[in-house]
Amino acid sequence: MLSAFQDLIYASGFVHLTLGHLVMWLIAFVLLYLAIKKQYEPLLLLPIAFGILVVNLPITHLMEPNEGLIWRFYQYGIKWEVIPPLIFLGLGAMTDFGPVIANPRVLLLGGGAQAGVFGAYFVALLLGFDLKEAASIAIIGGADGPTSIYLASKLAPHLLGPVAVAAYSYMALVPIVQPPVMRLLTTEAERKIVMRKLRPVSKLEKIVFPIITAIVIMLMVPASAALVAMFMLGNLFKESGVVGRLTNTAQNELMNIVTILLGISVGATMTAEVFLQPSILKIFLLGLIAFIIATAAGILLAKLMNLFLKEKINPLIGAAGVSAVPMAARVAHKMGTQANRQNYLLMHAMGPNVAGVIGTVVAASILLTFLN
Amino acid sequence: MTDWSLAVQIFITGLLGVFFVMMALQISIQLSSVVIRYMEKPREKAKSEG
Repeated sequence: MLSAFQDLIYASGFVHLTLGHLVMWLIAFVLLYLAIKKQYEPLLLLPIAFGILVVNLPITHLMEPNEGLIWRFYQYGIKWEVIPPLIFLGLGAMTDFGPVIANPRVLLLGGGAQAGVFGAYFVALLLGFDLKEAASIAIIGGADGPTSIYLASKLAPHLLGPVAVAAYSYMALVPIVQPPVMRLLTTEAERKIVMRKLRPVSKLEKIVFPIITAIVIMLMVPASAALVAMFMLGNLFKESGVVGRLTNTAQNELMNIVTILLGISVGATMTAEVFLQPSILKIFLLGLIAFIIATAAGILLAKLMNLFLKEKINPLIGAAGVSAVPMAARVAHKMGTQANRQNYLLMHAMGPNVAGVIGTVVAASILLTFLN
Repeated sequence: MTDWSLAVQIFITGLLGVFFVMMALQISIQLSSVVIRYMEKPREKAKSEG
């Protein structure tokens, strides 16, 4: 009887708890607090945090290869590259590319911000990460969660968890990280630049946009195919106006289901052994560096473009090339309004903001082309 | 051991590659908008007159 009871105790998780597990619980609790109380990107951060908690409960075997429930989500959803493209389908169905079509120059601003990715890439190499790890970390600078997860899962799966947490944390911190950089790199006069109202965009233009974008980008960067195809398909659903049911599903049920599976799978990769390494601090530092460089690059590119443009761009919208949609656009708009109350920059800033999503996918695909 | 020549290649090609892809996309979108607005002009004109 006593030995049976002893066996039961030894079969429990309590006996196998380590200090590392407890530290990971603490991290999970902090992330849950940020998600629930502070509402930092709760849609992803909450399942990620819970995934971290449950995977660090010993001998639950949730991530046991070929057996664990969450392993199956991870293997068939992320390793098989199914979930990130489906998230892009939903994102495409929710994105309005009108501001980009009305002012296509902002595509360059969306691309310019990707300098944050390549700048952070170099710094990551200098800090001792290898080529694939550096690319997986640097993509945080694109401020696009699904793309970061997609790239990290292919190039450095052992860094997937910290990269995802860093990406979503910094996306939530955009209103704190960006403004000092924006103030430093722009003058009061530049922040006051008023941009003319965007021209109206016809339905046909909005229908043609995803078709042309898919053709151009997938021909030039074939490695982008999975993400770009789904992104543009979702957008075509929305803009065609003839598949309301599919659009609704892509925007709502599908998006919600894959978000749940993605979040918990990513969180469950963060075991104590993987996460409690000195290199994790470097990842968070590099994420911050990437965001700062991306913000600066977008603003400086806008200022450079202004040298050649008759109708000036308010350089604040360059910072919105960091594709944290719509937060970065709101930050640019708020700073513009603070400088000049009559300035309404939100729709102008949405242009580079959504263009940045395309830019980040292109940057990730170029990295994949070289490194995969 | 980091392959620095590959790293520099990736850095330069990546920056330029993103720039050229976005520029190609910008030109394509602008061209398509010009064509579409030209095609829609008679319809818009008829609508405003009607």
